[in-house]
Amino acid sequence: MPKIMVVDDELEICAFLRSFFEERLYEVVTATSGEEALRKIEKERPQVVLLDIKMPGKDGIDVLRELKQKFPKVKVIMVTAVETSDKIEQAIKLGADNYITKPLSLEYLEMDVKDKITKLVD
Amino acid sequence: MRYAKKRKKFLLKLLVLLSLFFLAEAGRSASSTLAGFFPHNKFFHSESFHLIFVVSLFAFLYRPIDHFIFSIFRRVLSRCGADYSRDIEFLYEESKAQMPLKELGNLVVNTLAEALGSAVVTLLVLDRKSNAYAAMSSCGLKPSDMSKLRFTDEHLIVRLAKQENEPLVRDELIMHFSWQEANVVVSEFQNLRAAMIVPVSVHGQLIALCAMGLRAGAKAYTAEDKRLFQEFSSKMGRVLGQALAMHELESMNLELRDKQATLLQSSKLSAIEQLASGFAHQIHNPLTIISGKAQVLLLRKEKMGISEEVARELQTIVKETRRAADITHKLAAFSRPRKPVREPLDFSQIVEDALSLISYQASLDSIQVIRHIQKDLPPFIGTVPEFRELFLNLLLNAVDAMSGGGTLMIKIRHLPATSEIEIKVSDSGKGIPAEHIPMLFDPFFSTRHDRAGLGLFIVQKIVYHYGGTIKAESQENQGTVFVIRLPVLKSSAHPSQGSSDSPASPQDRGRSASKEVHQYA
Ligand SMILES: [Mg+2]
Repeated sequence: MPKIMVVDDELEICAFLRSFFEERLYEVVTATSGEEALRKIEKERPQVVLLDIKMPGKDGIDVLRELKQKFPKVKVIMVTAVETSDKIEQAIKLGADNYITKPLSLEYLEMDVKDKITKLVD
Repeated sequence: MRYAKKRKKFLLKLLVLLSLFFLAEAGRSASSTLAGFFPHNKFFHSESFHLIFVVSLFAFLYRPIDHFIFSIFRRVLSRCGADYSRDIEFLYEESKAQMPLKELGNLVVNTLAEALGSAVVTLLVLDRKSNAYAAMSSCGLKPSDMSKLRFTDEHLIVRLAKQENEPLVRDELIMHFSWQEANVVVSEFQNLRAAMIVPVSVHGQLIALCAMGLRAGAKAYTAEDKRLFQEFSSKMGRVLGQALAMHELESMNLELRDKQATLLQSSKLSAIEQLASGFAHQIHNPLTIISGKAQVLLLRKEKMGISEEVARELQTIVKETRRAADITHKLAAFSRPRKPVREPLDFSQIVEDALSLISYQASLDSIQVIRHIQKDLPPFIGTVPEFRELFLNLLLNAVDAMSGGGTLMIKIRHLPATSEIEIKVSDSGKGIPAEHIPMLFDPFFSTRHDRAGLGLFIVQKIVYHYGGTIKAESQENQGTVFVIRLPVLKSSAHPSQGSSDSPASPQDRGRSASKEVHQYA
């Protein structure tokens, strides 16, 4: 079963993404802060991380930087609200594999996650 | 002076009336003589006949006599130099009361022209910005000729006025110069139709030149005249200097007020920007949750036994949250600093793009679209998305105003005088009530329920971003015209400079997510 991690400071966002991906037969781990995400990732080893950019404490960019250093193979999809293009460019430079804007189209998100996982298998 | 002049005029009029009175007496006896020819006609002997006769005499002779007496007076006046010195004295008295520069200038030229009996008197005043002496007031020169009269240090008369600082008499100068220089002097004097030019200085700075034509009877200016005008110059210098300083202060004040207004506008914008981006951030997460939960429910439709009807409503929830997010996205997109691709714009192409985009949203069938886009516009550097947005909003606005059809006109031309691009978008629609015009560019101002009211706000922001101006003129039931003026910068001629800071092209990024950002950025 493919495994994904959802990182978002909004509990409800984590919750519906969990329901959605579990419905689609993914194993889902959630984290509501950057710190929690970095802690859990060692143990859980997800294939894809959905990473919110705007979070209190360690934000998505900080997490991305550390994550890509330690686990360069993990695919990361940034989730943005209305971030500036500078932020998005920064994320792409740091190795983000894609980004998607809120509100999320779950159909599209799943397509993208699938795409990343097949790339991992290759 | 005005009062003194009035007093003088009053005396002259009195003289005219007095002579007419004597004429009337003569007329009375004339009418009696006339009546003598008709001894039997009662009318010729009546009082009313006398009255009519005298009144008609008055009416016929008033103007010629008036003219005659005034011309004699003027001729006598111009013959004795001392008389115009009194006029000049009046001028100082009058000008002590602080007067606007333009009014003072007119007073000076009119008084001098009258006192000297000269056909042309022109006052040239220093324009500190360009360091030139421009004709400000003139008696005898046409305004169209006046606007061409600007003298700088390149001109001999200005250099001479600064050196000599005493009245320059043309015929004297000619005698002292080589023939080349004499020719220059003659042509410069000729431009002003002057025989004498009086420099006016204050604190050692030349602030004005007073150019005077020949006096009545083509009398030349003498040493005595020069001395009088020298005095005139030193006295007028103080008054004129004060008026000029006031004038400069005023125009500076106006300029400052303009700048302040622009600043206020831009600070208003930035406050809204901050609000907008915070607002967009705050609202996006709840929207994401609403839309996400609805999508999850839709996914579990069968499992949870959700009816078709509820499913449709859930779909509406997803769709509407998307729409709400579009608005906040747009707002945020316009409030964030971007690094767009700057390039020379093809206005025709942008207008066509905007028109074709509009045709998805509104019917253009009943609307006649007229395009007047100048072919040889100077290169204008900007970003295509910004200008597409600008035209889109203006055109949409125009189309909205013409629900019953009409004419949409798009005019783009270059104004060489001010080096600006002028964009005019006009419609023949219902117009905008005058009381709405001041709010037109405010965010969220809309008279329609289905529009967010951001269109013109965005247009204005783009215009300001390019240092331009925008205004709206409207007449109810006649239509509205938006006039945008954008300065063409000198650097616009080097398009290569602007495009160097373009970000990575959207295609480099994620597949369809890039489309999303492109749509909003
Ligand atoms: Mg967040």
